[in-house]
Amino acid sequence: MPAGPYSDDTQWCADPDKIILETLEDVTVAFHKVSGDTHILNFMSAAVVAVLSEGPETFASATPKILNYIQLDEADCPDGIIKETILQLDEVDLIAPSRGNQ
Amino acid sequence: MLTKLSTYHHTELSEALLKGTVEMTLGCFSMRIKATDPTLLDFLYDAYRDVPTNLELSDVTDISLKVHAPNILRRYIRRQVIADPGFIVPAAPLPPRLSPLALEMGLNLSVALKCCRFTTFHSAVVAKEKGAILISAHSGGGKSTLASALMNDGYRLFSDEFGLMDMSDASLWAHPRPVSLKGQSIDIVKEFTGAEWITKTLTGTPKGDIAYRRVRPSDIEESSTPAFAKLILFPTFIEGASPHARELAKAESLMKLIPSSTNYHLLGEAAFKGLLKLVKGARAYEIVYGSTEDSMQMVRDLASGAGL
Amino acid sequence: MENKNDKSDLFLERRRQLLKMGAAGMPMVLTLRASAQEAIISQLRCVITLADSFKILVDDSGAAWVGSRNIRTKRDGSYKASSLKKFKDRANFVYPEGSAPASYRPDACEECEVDDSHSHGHDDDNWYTDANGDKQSSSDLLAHLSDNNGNYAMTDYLAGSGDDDSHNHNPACDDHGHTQGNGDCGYALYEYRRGMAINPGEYVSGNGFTISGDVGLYLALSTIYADEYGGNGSWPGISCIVSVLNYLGQ
Repeated sequence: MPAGPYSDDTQWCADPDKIILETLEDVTVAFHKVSGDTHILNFMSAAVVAVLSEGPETFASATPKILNYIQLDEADCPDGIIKETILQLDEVDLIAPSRGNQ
Repeated sequence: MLTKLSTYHHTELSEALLKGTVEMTLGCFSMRIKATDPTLLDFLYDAYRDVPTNLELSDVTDISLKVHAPNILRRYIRRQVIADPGFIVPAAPLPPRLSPLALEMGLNLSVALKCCRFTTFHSAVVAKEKGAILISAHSGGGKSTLASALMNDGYRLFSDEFGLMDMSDASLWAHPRPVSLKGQSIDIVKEFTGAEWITKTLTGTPKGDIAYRRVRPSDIEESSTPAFAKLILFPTFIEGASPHARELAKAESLMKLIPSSTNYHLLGEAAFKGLLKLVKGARAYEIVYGSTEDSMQMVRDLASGAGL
Repeated sequence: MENKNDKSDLFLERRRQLLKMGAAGMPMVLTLRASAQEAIISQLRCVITLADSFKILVDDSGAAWVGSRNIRTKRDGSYKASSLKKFKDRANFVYPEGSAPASYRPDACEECEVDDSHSHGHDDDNWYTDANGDKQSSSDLLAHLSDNNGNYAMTDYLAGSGDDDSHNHNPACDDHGHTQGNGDCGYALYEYRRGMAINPGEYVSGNGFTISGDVGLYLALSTIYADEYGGNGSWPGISCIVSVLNYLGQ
């Protein structure tokens, strides 16, 4: 479920203790231990989870780290795609706003 | 002490059935059966004749199934039977002559909904020495016919209905009950196995004509030996179609197997980890075929490529 | 997790393409759901294939007779009263008043009216009554068959030659308002062909069947039969009907 209202200052994070990630060929499979749901992530959503597992980030602060992870430049990334991916991951509870951020 | 069901005299088996002390062991599951209708007796002698059976309860069984009238009125007037696996299921009352169908449906429901030792997939499984083939398809998708054909090709039957996966190492375990055949597949399978292996056909069932391919003694004797999947198939039968196969990525295979499981979500992390091992260890294909002959040639080729 | 040293152009170009697709709406996350209902919902998968043709005759009160005899018609297309009587007397199944849903019942018998439509000899012979009891032209018939996937023939009541302005198929009345003496009135006939396949699961909605088309009448009467006799009986396809009704919790 989505976290609710968010802002550009919202810090997002993933809890690596709750998620099992496994790469199968060119996709990443994520199992959420709490919900029991299994998800298929592409390289972008997998990168977002990986980066946010290392610590809370806002949309802005996460972007360069994610770009570095996926080996692309800002110019390669359509506007809003990182933000959209973060929101989709929030929708399925793979990430959430950091509690210290509320 | 377990002995083949066929060695029991009609009277003693009938009494045990009424008392509910017929205990059969097939592979990884033991089953206790109780039934009030004598029709079931003939079916058990026909389809389960070689199954190790005890007529006195010796232990807790995995499955406990009763086949009986839905109420006392229906025991005598316009008689009906239902399968009662010990929990509420949407069981359709059937006429007593279809009590074998009630038995088989009840046993299937028991495995699908009560089993938590294994991750269950709605699939057929057969195996040779080097590994197993898991055939994943919905009801009526052709997995039983394909499984029967592969039995004729030297494969051991694990199950025509459920893939039973040990979550710790992704090994597959056998529960070789009679293979359910519907409609046209009855004659198809009769042709290559011989009519002596097929039970009497039940007509007028909710799924049309149904018959069962009896399990071979060798399948039963080896049923405690597991196997690892080397090949995963997702077959689609389209009459007249030219046969073709498409290899699936591991993730695709996983995506197709999860919805086919009756308890994956219940078992959680252990099932996920086991399933990962399963798909990593096997090659997976979607296959389309228009005849059993076509499917067999294709499966032989794919199996060979998978090391079977 | 990934090979960060792989910087091939093709690899990166593929990623760029995928991001463009993401921007165009392709989801970045797919969630898989397991289904424990797979085994149970097989209850809905039975299909009834009619072993024999039969007809359902419905009167304006909703009583219904099910049989396979032919019902003879007169030159004007109305049913012969004697033929109706034989059909009813020898019906395999008889349902009391109120059994057939209202949409399948013909209009009640009326007093014979004079037909002053001046259509004598210029009748539209090619019409039929649809499931709502409304008159439809044969140019709609093909469309109707197509709409229903050709699974069954809508052969409700096809007018024969001659005057046929009696919307209620009233064989008791002629176009001049006179009773014909031999007729019974207010009947609709539905025919079901041998080999017709009915999948009750397709008509399931909420906690019952969606009643529509000729199949709807069959399902409505089947439900009544199942309620009375369960799955043990000779009504065509009753085992399947009971299976579905049990799934629905009825």
